[in-house]
Order: sequence, then C-alpha cells, then structure tokens
Amino acid sequence: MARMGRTVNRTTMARATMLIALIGLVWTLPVRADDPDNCLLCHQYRGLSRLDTDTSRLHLFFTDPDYSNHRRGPHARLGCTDCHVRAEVSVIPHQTVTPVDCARACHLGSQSGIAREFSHAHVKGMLQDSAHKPDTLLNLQFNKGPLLSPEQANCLYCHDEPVFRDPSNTIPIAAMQSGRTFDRCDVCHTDTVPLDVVYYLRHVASRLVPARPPLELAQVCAVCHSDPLINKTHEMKDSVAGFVRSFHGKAALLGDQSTANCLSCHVSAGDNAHRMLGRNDPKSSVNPVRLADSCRSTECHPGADKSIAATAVHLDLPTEHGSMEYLLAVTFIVLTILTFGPSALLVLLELFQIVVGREHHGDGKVRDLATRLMADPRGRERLKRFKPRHRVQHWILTILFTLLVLTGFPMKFADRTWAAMLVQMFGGLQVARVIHHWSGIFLVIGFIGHMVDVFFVFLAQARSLISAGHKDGYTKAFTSLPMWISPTDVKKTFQLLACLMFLRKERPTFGRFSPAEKFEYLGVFWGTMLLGITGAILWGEQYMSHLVGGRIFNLSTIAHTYEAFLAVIHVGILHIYNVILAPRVFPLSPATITGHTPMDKLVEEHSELVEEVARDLGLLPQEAPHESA
Amino acid sequence: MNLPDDAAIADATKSRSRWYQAARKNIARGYATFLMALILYLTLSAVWYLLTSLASSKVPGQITDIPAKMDRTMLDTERAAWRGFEVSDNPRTPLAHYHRVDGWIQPDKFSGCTQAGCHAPLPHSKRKEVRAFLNMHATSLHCGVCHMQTEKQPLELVWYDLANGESRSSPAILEAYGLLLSSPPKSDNEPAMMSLQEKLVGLLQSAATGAGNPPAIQELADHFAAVRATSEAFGKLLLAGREALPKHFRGEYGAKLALRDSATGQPMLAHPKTESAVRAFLDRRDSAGGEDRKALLDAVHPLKRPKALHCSDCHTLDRSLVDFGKAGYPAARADALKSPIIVRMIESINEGRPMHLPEFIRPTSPTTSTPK
Repeated sequence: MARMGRTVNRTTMARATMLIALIGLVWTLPVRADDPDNCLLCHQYRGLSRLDTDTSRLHLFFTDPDYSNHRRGPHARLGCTDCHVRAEVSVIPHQTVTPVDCARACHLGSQSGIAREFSHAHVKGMLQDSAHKPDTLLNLQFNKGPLLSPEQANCLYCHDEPVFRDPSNTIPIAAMQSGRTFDRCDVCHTDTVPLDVVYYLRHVASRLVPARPPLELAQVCAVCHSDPLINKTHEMKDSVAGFVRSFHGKAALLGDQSTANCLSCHVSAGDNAHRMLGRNDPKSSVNPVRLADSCRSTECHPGADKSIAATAVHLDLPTEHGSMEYLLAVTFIVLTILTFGPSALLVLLELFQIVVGREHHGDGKVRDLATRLMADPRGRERLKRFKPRHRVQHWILTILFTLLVLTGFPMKFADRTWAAMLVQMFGGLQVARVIHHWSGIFLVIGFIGHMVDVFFVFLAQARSLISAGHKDGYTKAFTSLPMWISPTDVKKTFQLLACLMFLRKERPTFGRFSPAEKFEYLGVFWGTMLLGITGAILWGEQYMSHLVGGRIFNLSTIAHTYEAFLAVIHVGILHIYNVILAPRVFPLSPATITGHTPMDKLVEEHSELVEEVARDLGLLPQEAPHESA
Repeated sequence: MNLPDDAAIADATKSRSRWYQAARKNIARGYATFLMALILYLTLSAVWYLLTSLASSKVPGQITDIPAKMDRTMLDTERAAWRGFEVSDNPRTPLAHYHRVDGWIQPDKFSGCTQAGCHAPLPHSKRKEVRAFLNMHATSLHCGVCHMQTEKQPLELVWYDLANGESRSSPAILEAYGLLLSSPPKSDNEPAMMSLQEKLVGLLQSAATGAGNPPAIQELADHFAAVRATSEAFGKLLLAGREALPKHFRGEYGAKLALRDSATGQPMLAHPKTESAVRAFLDRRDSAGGEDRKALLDAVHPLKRPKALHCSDCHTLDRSLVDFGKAGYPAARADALKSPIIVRMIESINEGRPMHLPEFIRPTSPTTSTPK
C-alpha cells in the first residue's frame, strides 16, 4: 500500500512537473511575434518618445516587444489595432490617437487562425453596482491634479498592461522546477508543442495566485486611498497608511506573498474586485455585520472567534487620539523615556568624568584586600560575581535575544530597506517568523528555569534564617535576594548621581550587584513576561480570540512592539556599553566568561563585596565594617 | 666616550613615563568623548523615533513612490530612484501610461549637450513627422554625429561607454550576433566549442547589462551556459540565438556612437572649449534676443553643421555616411539599417506624405539555416 501511495504521489508529482515545466519552457523560448501591424518595428525602441516643451508632458511611445514575443501577459496575443483605432495608427505620422476604450470588442487570435471576439464591456456593469462607480471615478479630484488625460479609460487608475505572475514564488512545487525540465519532452515531441496550449497553461498557472502580490495591490489602492484630496472629499481616512502599520501590511512590505491583501477582506468570496462595496453596504464583506465571517474565512482565520473582527487592520495610531490603543502607546513612550533616560544619563556622566580627568580609584585598603583575596583560591572563588549557571543562562539569553531582535525588528521597521534585506537573509518572512516564535518559546522556558533557580535560592535562604531564629525568615529571604532593589539602592543611586554631577565628593560603592545591574535585571524580568504573554496572544490569534476580545490583539501588538524597542535600546546602547565598550572592560568584560570582575571595577564599584568576603575569610574583623562603604 | 649617568637615565625614564601617561590619558579622553557622542546620538535617535511614532502617518515609499505623472522630471530621474518600482515583481507603470515600461531613456551623463543644461535628453520636439524618430536615435548616437561639422566621409566614429564616457569596443550584443552568424567550429572540437560558449555567454551577459538587464537576453545567456558546448542542444541554441538576438537591437547597448577626435582618438562629446560660452548663454538665456542670442548660440556651437544630417545620409546603400561594418555592426544588421525600404519610408515621412506601414518588413532573422 505504501508503495502504491508512493507511486500515486510520484504520478501526481510527474503531472505537476509536466505542467510547470511546460509553463517554464515557454517562459524562456522566443516565439513568433504577434504584431500583424508591424508596429513594433518602431515602437520597440525605448527612445521613441518626445517631450512636450509647452506642457512638460513626457510621451513614451515605447512598447516592450518582449511582452508579445514571450507571451508575458493575457494581452500578448492582441494586435495593436485590437485596442487602437486602425485608421488612426496605420498611417505614419499617426493621426491623433483616440484613447482606448477597454469595453471595446477585440479579437483573440489563435494559431489555428480562428479569432474569438472578447470584451471587457461586462465589467462596466459590475462597477456600476460597486463602490467604484464609473461616475465616481470620472469625478475624482487628485491632490496632484488630474492623473489621466481627458477621455482616458478610468480602468487605468487600477490597471496597466497585465502580466502573468510567476507562480513559483507562491507555489512551492513550481519553485522546484526550471525551464529545462521541459527538455525531456523533446524525446517524443520532436516538433514544437502547440503554442496556444502553452499559453493557456501559463494563463491558468498565473491565475493560481492573485494577479498582484499584496504590496503591488497596496500601490494600486494607494493611488486614490492615500490621496489627501480624495480622502477629504470622500470623508475617508488614509486606509493604506493604516494597512501598512498592521501585521498584514508590514508582511506585505517585507515581500510576503501569502499575507492578506486589500482584496482578501474587501472582496467577498465568490465575487471579484469590480463588485467591491463600501463598508456601509449590508452586502459588503467588511460591513460590521459580515466582517467577522470575512476574517474567519477558510483562507484566513478559520478557527477564530468572531471577536477577532475587533482587531483593527487599519489602525493608524497617529490619527486615533483618545483611543485605548493610543493611550497605551503614549504610556509606553513615557515609561521608556523615564526608564531609559536616567540610565543613559548616568552612563553619559560616567564618561564625562573621564573627559574632564576626574578619577576615582577606590579605597587603597580595599584594593589591598581584593589583591590578597584574589591570591587565595577561596577568596578568588567568592569574588566571582557570576556563577557558572548564571553565565550559561546569560549566553543563552544573549543568543535568543539576538535572534528575536533580528527576526522581530524587521516587522517593526518594515518600511526600511535593511528590514527587507534582513528578512531575505533568513530565507523570507515565513522562516524568520518560525525562528522568532521558537526563540520566544525557548526564552520563556529559560525564564521559567531561572525562576525555579531563584525560588530554590530563596527557599534555602528562608530555611536558614528560620532555623537561625528569624520569625520573618521568608520576608527577609525575599528581600535579601541578590537582585532585590532595596531603599538603600535607591539612596545610593541618587548619591552616585550627585557624585557624577560634582555635587558630592565621595562615590558610593556597592555589593555584589550595583543598582544599575539590578535595574537591568528587573527590565529583563518584566520584559520577558510581557513580551512572552503578548507574543503568545499574537501568535495563537485563532485560539486566543476565544479567550480575549479582538481589541486585545491591538493592545498586545502595541505593548509587544514598544516593550521590544525599550529592550533593544537598553541592551543595544547601555548594556553593550557596560560589558563591551566601557573603558574598564573593553573589549569584553571577563565577567561574562570567567565570572571575574576586573580589579579596578571591583575595587571602585563592589567594595562591599570585597569587605564581606574578607570578613568571612577572617581578613577583616567581623565587627569592623569599612567606613567608606 | 661619555656614558649617561644614572640620574640622566632616571630622568629620561621619568620623562618617557610622563609622556606615556599623558598619551594614555588623552587616548582615554578621546575614546570617552567618542562614546559620549555615540550614546547621545543613539539615545536622541531612539527618543525621536518614539515621539514621531505617534506624530506621522506617512505611507512608505515602497507604496507611494511611483511616478503618478509622466513629465519632464521623469527624464531627470533614474528608475532606481522610485522605490515603489524596485520592490515590485511587475512594477505598475505610471498612471496614464498603459503599456509596461521597465525604464525610460536616461540622460547621457557624458554628453555636453544635455549635461550643460541646454538640451533635454529627448531634444527633438518641433516637427511632428519625425521628432519621435529622431529622439529614438538618442539612445545610440551622440548629438554630434548628426549636428557637428566634420569633413570625414564616411564619418569617423567611435563607441563610448555610457558608464564612464570613455571610448570602447563595439557593443557586446553586436559582437555576440556576429559570433552567432559566423560558422562555428566542428562540434567534436571540444576546446574550440568551449571557447565559443564562454565567449558567447560573456558577450550576452554584457549585452544584458548594457540593455538594462532585460530578462530575455539574460535567459539566453543562461541557456548557453547551461548546456554542453559539444552537444546537439548547443547547436540548436546557436540557431535559436540567431532568431532571438535581432529582436533586441533596440539601440540600448550601454554605449553610444560619437564622432572621433582625430587628435586624441576620444569621442567628441561636446563642442570644444565652450565652457565659458555655455555659461554666458545660460546666464542670458531668458533675456537675450535677436542677434545677441544668435551670437551667444554661435559661440556655444562652433562646430555646428549648417544643416543637420538627414536620415537618408546614413540609412542608404549608396555612400552611407556611417560605415556600419567598421562600427562593429554585423553585415546582416548593417544591411537592415541601410535597407532601401527604410530609406523610402523615412523619405516619405520627411516629405510629409502619410504612409502606410507595409507588412512585408516584419522583423526577421536574416538567416536560419544550419551552419555548415
């Protein structure tokens, strides 16, 4: 059975291969030019153009002969006079050429010589019942002035010469084939394959995917829907601006071919773009009553709850003043500035000390103590600020964080050139997305593992305190966790600020971890939770829509993106400074590898740790703490 | 011999040590200043981004950056400047233009006539009968070929590269076509066939680059590269190439013909020693009139022909002013350019007689026979 299955699969594969190969070959073979009027004799030259010096209008009379030579689109078999009036163009110089009427009947020629009449006249009827009525199109007033010449067909607002899209970008099996696959046909078919069959196959194959990829479709819609005057006249928002800020729009900007495009939502299943209706029409696919079903169509979010329709695809924050989404964004911006700003200020002031030549060498006695401790294996071990498991956790965090940034930030800055390049480096948005999701999962697993580690440290400390007779052992154990930010830390931070601003002479010193390090840790703690939760909501949108309302997706997106930005600037600017660029640790702090802190930094910033270890090892009397601490 | 005493050595050591300490401190200060500037810049950029993230709703260039109107500004802009074109598989044409345009005529960066700011890249606009035909030549001929005075007959011409303005050999597509029309070595002569294959592939790739990378020429090059040089398929491709390549003689070669300066051998891309005259003309272009204007223009065009060359001066079998063969055109292509049918058509149009395009001049390959 299995063998039979394989045979069937092979047969299916072979058939598909033949279809694609047939298509591929014709892509590459030059064929007879369909130019019965010989227009291309002149019009194949790109320079066949002129500039109207009075109006500054550029007239391009060039027509790419490859379009018909290589049958690159459904109009490739048409002669020029199928659209243009023969009497006007068959004389040279041409008479004034009447604009083309797309509803005019043309004749599709075949190799057999039989011509079939064809027309787009019925499209006019479709438009008449749509939001894009011919009269509406006729009266469009653009910000830049008229975009079409008088009497030109309104079809040109959306259409230009149609081309067959290469389905290999979106159909995996097509990408596996090449034009040369077709060479095998030569074994039996010694003559050429009938051209019209091939043309038909290409035509059909190109229709397996939408006529335009999502980004190009946005370009088409933006002609009108991003025009300020049209939006003002028709009381519309710039819907394309909102779209490109959405998940779908950003994916489109990054070249994703499968993401939802404008037509995915605005055209009902079984209908076509020419019958698109305004959202107030009850029959419209984006009418509030029908929108949920449009989102939950089999091609999009089939398992989602109807609440998914509350997700704003056209959310354009700058124009949404007062909304919950806007307020959340403002909150994150303020919090980012308030948390990152002071940290950056401290770093800048630290550097300023070096510039003006103000030096802090720490206490000489502490240096002597530290030197003696480093000479003792027990002291050396105790002065390691980071244990092996912490260093391993840090490096795992480093790798995952880097992957998350590299795969996530292109989505945030999707319109930047580097974003598309980065996504391509990962093999496309689909691959980048998978990497992002799994990196996030591992990060959350690592976070949970770290929390378990912290819990056992806390438990051991609490038991020790309780057995020593402390009644509030659990509370004390919690507040004595290494990363606990105490009131003393806050006080010392202000003392440090005062010192760096020349308001205080003595520089405060710290224990195992400085307040800045504790603050960074808090940021990772909070950030991982927030990014993990919001990331899970966005990833599992179909399942989560049953648990939370659609608007949560908007809020999650905002929280995820702004929190990620805070993390990146904090790590990318301040943490990189602290562990790589700072003069005392350059080119890399050994603490990240060996756990040891450079002597200068140890003496100046962590003298309390040195004294604590010295007391424990008997180098200092227990009852004589260092005064400067 | 006087040896330095201990005190002198100590002084020297101390001095070196001081110098070393000072240098070290200054390097540290410089490094700290650099870091301060970097961190300040990054911080301000981040804050600026945050603040503007709620202040702007501009649609990115990938979507809007497509020319909406076809006007003079397009001629001053390379296609790559329109971001909306670069990110699209099949970029839509500017509105009001239905047919696909994957590019438009680009200003010749080395032609003095257009670069001086006097003439547009499409300079002919007066006579309706011929203006577009004349502009058609702007992609492959420098203005001077028709408009500069020279006694040489036929004209002494040289190709110049549009990338650097330097003289160069004839365009790759012409060479490739010449190679395709020549008799190939025997198919069992593997080294010769491989050499032919390598040369053809290289020429076709160069031809594609020169023509702005049309997929058809690149695909032809890929096909030639993909098959074994001694195979039957390669022989078939040679025939197919003869059919296909003439369809790409569209005057886009990455090079243009110009008059050759006999003294230097370089192309004459502007009237010699006219920089100050050009400046004077441009300064007074709008104000000067009559004789004054004529005098200015005469100073700008010292080599100007009293009457520009006529189409039939070159497109003729009888004493053509262009030696197409010498310019690198294969005989078949040269014959097509000098064809009396074309000459008659041009003469008819030039005399203002409307003419109907005969169907029998449909473009075909001059030969499709199997090379012996």
